Amino acid sequence: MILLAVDTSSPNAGVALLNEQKLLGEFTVCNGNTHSQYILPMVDELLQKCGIALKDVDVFAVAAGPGSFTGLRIGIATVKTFAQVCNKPVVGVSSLEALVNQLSVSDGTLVCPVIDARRDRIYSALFDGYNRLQEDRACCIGEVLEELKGKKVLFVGDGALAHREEILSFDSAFSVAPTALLTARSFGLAQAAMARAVRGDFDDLYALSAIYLRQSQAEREYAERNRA
Amino acid sequence: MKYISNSYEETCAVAAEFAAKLQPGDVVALDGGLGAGKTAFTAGLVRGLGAISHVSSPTFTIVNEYTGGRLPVYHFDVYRIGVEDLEDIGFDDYLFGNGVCVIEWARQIVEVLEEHYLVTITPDPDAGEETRIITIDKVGEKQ
Repeated sequence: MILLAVDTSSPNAGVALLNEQKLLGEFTVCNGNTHSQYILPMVDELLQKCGIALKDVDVFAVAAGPGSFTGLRIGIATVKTFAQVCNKPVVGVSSLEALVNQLSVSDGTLVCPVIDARRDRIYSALFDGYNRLQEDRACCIGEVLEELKGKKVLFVGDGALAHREEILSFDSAFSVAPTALLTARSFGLAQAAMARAVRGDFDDLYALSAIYLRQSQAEREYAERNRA
Repeated sequence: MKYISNSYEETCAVAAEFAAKLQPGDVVALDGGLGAGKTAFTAGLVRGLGAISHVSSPTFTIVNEYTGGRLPVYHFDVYRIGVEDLEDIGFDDYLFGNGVCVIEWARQIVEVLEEHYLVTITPDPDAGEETRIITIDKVGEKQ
């Protein structure tokens, strides 16, 4: 089963091609949010270099959020279009879950993916190995560190990079993934998506949409009152 | 800082001189009524950065992007939208990017701005119709 994964949820733009568990190729550019310009040429280049035609792709996968609103829309629109035109299924994976899947972890290891949401906010969740313990949520780094105090936790994601000093000095049991695996690499997304694809667990092509984790109106107003 | 402009060209010149100070990530809020010269100021600013772009009012487009200069310029008119709509236009990607955001009618969304330049352009009631008083200050210091 050949799977093409597209990740535009973070400042990195990434595409990966997987055949069952074998990585055929991966292309990541860490150069900021210009995904609309790069993503199609990247897909094209990757397919060419791997000698795979678009019509040979069996499943299309995308990081569905949370992350940059514009980035998410670019990735999701691209993947949905491929799937519709090629008449193939889609899988949308949480970008936080994708981060966990780019690491090599076993059951018993607590992994906390953290995505920078700007304005001192982050998106985060908690996993035991690859198994989800907590839903994706928007919050602050301080809250997450307090909750995990005293536990041995591995942090990953561009939010972990941005808050690396704070994380490491908060608790000696906290560690941060190595630089090469710290920010979004689309093979993690591809692996998470493949695990679902082999079970036939696809998303509805038309219903698949971005997971924004928007602040609710109430939260916004609360933040406003506290700012004044 | 306060300047007096007696024409479209003088407004552009004030803006071009100001543009020399701009750094990546800077935000310029433009305050002024209809016809005050906000778009004129923006045209001068873009030219001051060395871009040869046709600058027009983003009233309908919400945001225009001008590239080719020392820094990319993202020119907004938020008159028609509120804070809730900013996420839909990917505003934070611009605001926290490496270009310059120039925002007409910024007062509509001022609560989401951090440190920024505030440019006000007002007619001078005691002078001619073409005259404008332009003030440029830095506001919203980081907490």
